[in-house]
Amino acid sequence: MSKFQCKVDRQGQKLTLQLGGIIDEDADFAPLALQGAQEVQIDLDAIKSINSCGIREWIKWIGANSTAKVVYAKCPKVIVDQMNMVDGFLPAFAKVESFYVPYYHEDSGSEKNILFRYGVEFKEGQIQPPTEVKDESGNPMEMDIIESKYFKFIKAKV
Amino acid sequence: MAEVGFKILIVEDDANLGATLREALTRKGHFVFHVTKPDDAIQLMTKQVFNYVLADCLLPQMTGIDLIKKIRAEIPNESPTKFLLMSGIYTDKAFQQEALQESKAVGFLKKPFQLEELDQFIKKVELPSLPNASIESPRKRLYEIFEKEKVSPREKRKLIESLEEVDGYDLPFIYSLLAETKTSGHLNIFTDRGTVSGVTFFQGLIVGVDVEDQSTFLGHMLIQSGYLAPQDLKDVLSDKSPRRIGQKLIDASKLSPHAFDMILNEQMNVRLTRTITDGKVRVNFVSTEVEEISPSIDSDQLTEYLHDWVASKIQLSWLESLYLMWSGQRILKSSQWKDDHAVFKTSFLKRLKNLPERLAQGANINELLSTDGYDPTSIYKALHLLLLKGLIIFSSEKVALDASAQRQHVKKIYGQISNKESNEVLELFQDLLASKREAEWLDELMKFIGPAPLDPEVLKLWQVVKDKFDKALRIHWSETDTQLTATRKEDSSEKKIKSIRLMDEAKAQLQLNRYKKANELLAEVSKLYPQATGLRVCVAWGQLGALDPAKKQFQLKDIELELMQVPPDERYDAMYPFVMGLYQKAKGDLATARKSFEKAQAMDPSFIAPKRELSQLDTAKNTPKQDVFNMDLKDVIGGFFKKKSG
Repeated sequence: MSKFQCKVDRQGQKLTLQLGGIIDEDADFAPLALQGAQEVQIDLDAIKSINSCGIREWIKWIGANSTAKVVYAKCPKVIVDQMNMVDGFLPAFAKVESFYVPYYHEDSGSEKNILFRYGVEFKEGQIQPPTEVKDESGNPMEMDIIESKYFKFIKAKV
Repeated sequence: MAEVGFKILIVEDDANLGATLREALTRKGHFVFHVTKPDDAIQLMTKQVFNYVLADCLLPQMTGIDLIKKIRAEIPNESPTKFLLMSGIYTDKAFQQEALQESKAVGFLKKPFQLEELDQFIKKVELPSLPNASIESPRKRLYEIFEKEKVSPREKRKLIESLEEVDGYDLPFIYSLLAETKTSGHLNIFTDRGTVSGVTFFQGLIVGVDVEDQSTFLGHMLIQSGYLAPQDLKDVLSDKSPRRIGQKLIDASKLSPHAFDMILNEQMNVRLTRTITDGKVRVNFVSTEVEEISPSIDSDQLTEYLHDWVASKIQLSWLESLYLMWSGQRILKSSQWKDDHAVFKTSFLKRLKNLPERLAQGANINELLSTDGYDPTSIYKALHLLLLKGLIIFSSEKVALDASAQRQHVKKIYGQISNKESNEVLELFQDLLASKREAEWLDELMKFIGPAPLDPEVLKLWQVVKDKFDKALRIHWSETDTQLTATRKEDSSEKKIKSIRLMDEAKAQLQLNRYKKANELLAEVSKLYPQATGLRVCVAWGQLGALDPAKKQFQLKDIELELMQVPPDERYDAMYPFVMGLYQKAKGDLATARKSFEKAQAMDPSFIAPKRELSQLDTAKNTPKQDVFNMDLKDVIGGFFKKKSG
């Protein structure tokens, strides 16, 4: 089971965090203080899951930031779900640079995550999904989400 | 009545004409509002959506055409209202065409006009493309499982993933589905108060529960469950070593590791119980790999807990509302039905004699409700439990009601709504109306109650029900949702505060053995806030104190029902074992009663009532029974006049 991992890269006033594993009661955000940074890039690609304790910890941690410009990148579905549902998970000062959208082919059962990027597949209040997504066997795939629910955070902001 | 009742706003400065039109359209089954000034129309339209606006061309302040243009500019809405212009003065074709073009109104009525003309317009314009097309909520789709024989695990998981806002009372069903589909992941639960809770599943087993209030009074649980004697707990608590209480007990051989696991599961049950609340919650399921943790709640244990939650947490009125839409549909045994399923060992199922046979005959809820010896609480709760476990389903075919069935049906609805406030009427039918457009609500409610019955007595009830529906909808549409929500929240908080005060008073009266007064206060709490903490235990206490020897047998059955519905998290308060003791004593089981009183005393040494009961039991035990028929007459007479010592 992958525990919470974090790789920190600080270059001047820019802080890059690569988070991975599980965000739960054991996830320690204390060493990840955002104070002092003016720009924070949080790469969430390797996050596997988050539970209720993790959600509380995240809100506490990200909410403590007061000055930095925060960008969430490569958000997996588990993170997008929280951004849509939990107040304070994606605070006003944070923006989404990219996030994954699950696709599915019903007959073959194949699944794939497609990265939606700001300015390409989405921008403020708009979604421009790729015209076609195919699985390994060339089957056309469909979005495996409820669009009105999954893209809610884009309506609000990006 | 019209085929579909629409919300219509008439903007007509001639008050008499407007009122006449309003009355005529109301008689046709529409919901009609009339204003004389354009400003009033705009104000009203900022608060609610109308299907139609009938605007006179010549109005004070501005023309009808300008009014329509202003409304379109100032109040954009996703399901556009349709506008009709009317005029008795500007009736020439050229003007009509220009007015229609400029205002984009759907029609022009020349005054005076026949109502049929308006009906024709509505039929022509409205029916092909009704606004606000029915959108089925994910929650509604979830409950459609109750009509399906087979739903794949993936479909069930997808249904859960699609959920967003649900009722707190839906959670037992969601837990049951996640367990049944052998899913792993975290179910995160959010309340409006900003709290976040979570339940973790490992291949369908519940392995973790995270709630805000983690206190579970482990010591009380150990005593109440009978795993530990009060003295043993005292001994262990006096050991100041840093080990956890469970470990100390296991090390001291006071408790087996297995028994401790059982208690930890019960602790999870108490925490799960706290997630099941009256009101809305938002949920999201994060499917992920999870480590297997011991102990865990398996399917059999979950069945017991489901019974506990359905019995103690879910309000009867909520179940009545949920099952309204299926009340006339046959209940069928599903392919998962097993005569020896664990669910049949639970109390509610046991209370309904021959239920499996009644279901095999294809009974529906209305028929079950009219079965002798079946009470509504047991019926709804037993059915809910069977549906949560997938043992029964509703036939998708609606059964046409014959005259006698309709009589029962109308009487039942009348009984349910006759004492309800308008907002409560709509709340009762919220599941039935959930996926319908507001304009269809009256039609849906009337479809549900059925056509006007021939029997004059039933017709009277039918008329009352119809009027109640009508009034409830009018009030709903004349107030904005925010106003309503604020008023309801205020009412509900006031009720809660009042009920807490009344509960305290009732408890004080119970302690003083003033049962009549206590029962009056408790009846008031039941009306105000039936979910009040400790209510059921207090009600049982009050009823036990006021037992009538002639009706004792029946009263004890009611008390048993009350005690069955005590929530798990309230069973670890000293009052619960105390009242259980009173119940056992009333049934004549003095040995068990004594144990219960001892538990209550150990859980709260300052609680006087169990102490008093124990001393009464001791006195009774130490007083030898006197056989007056074989005693010396002198001793018998002397006994009557003997002074009591102490």
